[in-house]
Amino acid sequence: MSEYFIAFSNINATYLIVVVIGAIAGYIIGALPGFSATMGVAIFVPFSYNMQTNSAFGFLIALYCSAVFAGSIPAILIRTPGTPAAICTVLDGYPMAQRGEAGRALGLACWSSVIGGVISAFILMIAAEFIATFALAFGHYEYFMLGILGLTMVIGMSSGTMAKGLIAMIIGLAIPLVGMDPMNGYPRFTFGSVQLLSGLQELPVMIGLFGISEIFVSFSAEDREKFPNQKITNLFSGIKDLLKNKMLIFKTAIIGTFLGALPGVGATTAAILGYDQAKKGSKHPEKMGTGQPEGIIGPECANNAVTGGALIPLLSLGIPGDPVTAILLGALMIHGLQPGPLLFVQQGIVVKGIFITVILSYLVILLFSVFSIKLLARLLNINSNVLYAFVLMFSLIGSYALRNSYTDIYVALAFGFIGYWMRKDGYPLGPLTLALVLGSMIEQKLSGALKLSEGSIVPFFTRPISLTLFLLAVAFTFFPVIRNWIIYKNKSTNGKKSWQSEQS
Amino acid sequence: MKKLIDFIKKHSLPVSLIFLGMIVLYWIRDYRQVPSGLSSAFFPRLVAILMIVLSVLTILIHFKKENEGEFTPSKSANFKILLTTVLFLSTINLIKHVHVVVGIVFFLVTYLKIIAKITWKKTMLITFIGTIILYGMIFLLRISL
Repeated sequence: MSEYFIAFSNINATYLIVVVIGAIAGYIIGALPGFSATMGVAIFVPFSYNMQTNSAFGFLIALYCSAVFAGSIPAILIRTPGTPAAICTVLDGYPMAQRGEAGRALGLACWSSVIGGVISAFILMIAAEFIATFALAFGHYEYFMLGILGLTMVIGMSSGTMAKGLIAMIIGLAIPLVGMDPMNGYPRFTFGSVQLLSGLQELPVMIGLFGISEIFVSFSAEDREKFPNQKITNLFSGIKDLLKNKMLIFKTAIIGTFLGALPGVGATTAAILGYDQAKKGSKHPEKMGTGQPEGIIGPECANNAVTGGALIPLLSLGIPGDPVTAILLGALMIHGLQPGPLLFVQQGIVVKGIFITVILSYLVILLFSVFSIKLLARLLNINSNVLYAFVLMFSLIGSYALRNSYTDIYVALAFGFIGYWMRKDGYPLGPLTLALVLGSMIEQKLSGALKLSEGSIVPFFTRPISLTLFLLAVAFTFFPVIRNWIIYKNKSTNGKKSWQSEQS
Repeated sequence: MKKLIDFIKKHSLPVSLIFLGMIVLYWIRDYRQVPSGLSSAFFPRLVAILMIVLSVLTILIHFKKENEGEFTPSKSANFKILLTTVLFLSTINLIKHVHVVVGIVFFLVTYLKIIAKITWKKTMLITFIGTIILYGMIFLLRISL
């Protein structure tokens, strides 16, 4: 408890200003279709290098949280989600705005997001500490199996086919192989270059994959609709709807937090499940899609609850829950913090500071929305190409800032092309990002474990935690296959029944 | 020949990965072996083999399916990508050999005029404001370009 007081007392004017700037940056990024929270965090991480640790994380977490919420603004106003997580908000948000209740819809989205985010922050505080205490018993074997489990979960949940998810994962595993072998110090794939001895840095790779490639993809996108000059009034009119849907808020916040903690699931899946819950619990499910308040509350509460959930495995185990937390992992390490159970022991105040930042970010979002959401809606009319120019400049400067190396800028550009190529052919970037982060950890832990056991793999299957993680990894690998088989069986049984009833 | 080219276009990524996997397996054959633990070649070999196997699997699974990409790029989009890349590389060289402000101004003016296609007045205004913001960030955050 004392650590919370100390962390709270570290909040000063600089910290608050930085949180507000992060929230504004996240707002702009999330509100503009074609930009994503991942892109925003990837591009702005390098600018946090010279900040104090708590200010740096205040900035980045505020950016993350507000970008996820701000995706609902264009979803409601111009039927185009600003981020993939707002995909379900379109269904009821846009019809509500069309009948002149844009303020009510935006207010509902704002309040639901804030409540969902704050609930997930409280769950984060309890769960992360508990898991970290449990994970203190983990050794090389357990961490290796945890890495494998993380990869299998990502593949199982990735969009598109499992085969394409596996390909993306393999590319992600190949990237950390460039540079010095972590165990023996032998240079691999450096082609005699001194710059490549330290390997391909994660941040320029992420900037390329999520920043530059996004710009390239946007060149093929259609022009978005302009925001019509609609009056946005009465952002508080949705509060009665919130009070009527207390159970939905609670359920979707828990679902979102849980899904956020699972690697590779993400805010989009949480939003879809949140909408599904809203439909199931609605008194008039037939009216869903026509502008029902629960159609906004469910997905918005769930998608923002993911922010707290994704920080649980990151802080307690050092395993990122989604691409954004994969980037935050890099940021933590740049600031000299090694995420995992020891972080709670050695840097408890910093961890508590991160928890407080999540709650503070949502309060800033709430205040900011109430006073300036109308102004932000006008952002939708900015020429996207102007913003792309700035994103490219930020990408260039950000890639360079890590090591003052021009090689990193070329790496970012190269991965911009790779990301574009993968998306053009339907390969997901999520598995690649998580494999990139987990790849070197898996190699190190496997090597360390085999050294301890003198080459024997038996301890991987005799240690109880390691065996449990292995069985979970197998289950997650075959989960999509089993799920598709069950769906196929149900379809053929229903088809057979309807054919039989037609015959009789 | 046309069928082969169409096949390679449709499966460009897995085909590239098969070649990359084979090159990696050949490249690492002389890597250092160590008495205990994993050698430096173990993981690259494992990843290269998985790359080849999974790429073949992906080609077989998607052999008869239509391309399920997120989008189909148009000629104008490809031209914009090429132009952006040339601009990006030119800007890097200007920053390296001349000055960061010159590089930023060059990039913004050229991008906004040729790719964004906005008027000269707006281009100059955005370039002026943008250069101040970008240079200000570089200065305040002590990034030495």
